Amino acid sequence: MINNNLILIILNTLISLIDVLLVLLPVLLSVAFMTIIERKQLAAHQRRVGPNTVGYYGILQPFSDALKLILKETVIPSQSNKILFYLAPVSTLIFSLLGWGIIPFGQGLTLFDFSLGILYTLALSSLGVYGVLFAGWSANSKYAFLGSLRSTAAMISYELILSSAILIVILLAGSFNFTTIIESQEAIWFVVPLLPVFIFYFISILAETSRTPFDLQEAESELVAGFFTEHSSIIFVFFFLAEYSSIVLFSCITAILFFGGYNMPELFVNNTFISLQAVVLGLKTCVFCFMFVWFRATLPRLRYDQLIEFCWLNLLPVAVAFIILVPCILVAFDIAPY
Amino acid sequence: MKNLFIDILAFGALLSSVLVITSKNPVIAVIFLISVFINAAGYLILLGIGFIGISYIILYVGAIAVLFLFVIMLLNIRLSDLLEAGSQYTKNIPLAIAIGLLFIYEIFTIIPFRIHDVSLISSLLNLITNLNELFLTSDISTLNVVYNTINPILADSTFTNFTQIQALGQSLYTFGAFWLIITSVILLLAMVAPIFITHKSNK
Repeated sequence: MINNNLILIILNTLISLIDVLLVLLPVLLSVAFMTIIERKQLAAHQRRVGPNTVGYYGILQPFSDALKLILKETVIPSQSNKILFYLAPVSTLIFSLLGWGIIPFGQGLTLFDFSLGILYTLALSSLGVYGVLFAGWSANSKYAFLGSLRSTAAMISYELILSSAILIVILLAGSFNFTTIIESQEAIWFVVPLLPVFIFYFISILAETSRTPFDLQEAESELVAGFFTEHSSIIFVFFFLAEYSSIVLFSCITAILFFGGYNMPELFVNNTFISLQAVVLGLKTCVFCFMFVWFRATLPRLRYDQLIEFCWLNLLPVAVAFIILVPCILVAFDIAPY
Repeated sequence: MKNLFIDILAFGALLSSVLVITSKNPVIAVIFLISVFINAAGYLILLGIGFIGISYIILYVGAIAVLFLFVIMLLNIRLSDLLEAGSQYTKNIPLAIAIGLLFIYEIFTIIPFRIHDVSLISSLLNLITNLNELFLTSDISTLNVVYNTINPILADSTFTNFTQIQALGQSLYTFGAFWLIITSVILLLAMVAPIFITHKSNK
């Protein structure tokens, strides 16, 4: 009698652990491949060869990079706050990986079909600021501190744009749940009626993940490397992984919110034994990962005051105008989904 | 198990709120403040009020605490100055104790107080019931059902999970419509006033 209960509890825990691992391991692998995609693609944009020695066409380069970084010596500044110095990169990585918990990879293929999924994502993205802030403060270095303040100011400014863009999507779908949002795009992807919203949404996620043209915190010419100047070896790997994991995550969320997630014409997605839903979602995600690197290769870095001014004076009025316009259209034509 | 987690979170919130006051470094104090918010949010989520819990994280942790931290980091307060100022206030401890006692007296008179409500004792009782659940019952599935019906919190949470936002919106736009309008006007004023103060006229 005793054993029966305990075994059931242990089995349940084991099964949910395996569930989590099944999502987490491919995500970490995809993050590793995202780094090699970025390097290869940048090389192609700049007419170079790029990494091509480790493995076929250099696809094993990220693993050798990670091994090199792990084997390096960890240098910690003597005057730094040691606990926060270690906690900051770990928290950044955890918060960017936690976002994968509610992503539906197919019909019902999700770790947690959360009814407040969008709010969960927004909460996690607002928690991600802390890793950056504490990394800069705890290192006790002027460059790191300036980098973290810049990056935090940019992140909390652009989060406003991001959440208003997502709010408009919620108005059209009528739900916070990712699965419902995907299902309501069966007829048409939200990018068609909301193309302007998609444009400023994508600008805001570029700033949220602090990629070029908004990578002010690692402006190499002014600050050494931004908020992770003092971080070395394994804790630097954490920052690196967190950055690329949030790029892949935000690409995936873009695909879900505006491009129908795992939706595709019935030829590819159906109830027979060939159901390519997860593959479709992956391909859509890849397109946005490509766009992230494309923008990096194309656009120059903004000046800091331009960055903040662009957010508060240009993007925010447009976002607020759309928040008023879209419900007005929904009510006027009586097409609200609820 | 859930009750145990709720107790742990409540204890964590209390402990970190004490540490907010006692820690010397202002940045560390704000970190403990964030910990209070996160513990409270987890407490609310475990109670089944997920929407309020998550909006706690978005608003307090994501916006307000970040602003606190930002300002404190930019102010560049010297630790020695703070410690000196702190030692001046220690002479007011009797006053603090008097006010605190008054507050505690108020709480004890307002809230009906029984021995079962002391959290230490109730958590001990919970621990015993949890252990009983683990070792004595044979079938966990029937046990869950019974637990659901007996424990009002759990039953509520399984019911409200689906319609939480709708329920909130329903009561907000019908019974609380008047208060909603007043709040929105106050918030609008709070937004317009700083713009007006910081606005430079081009004369």
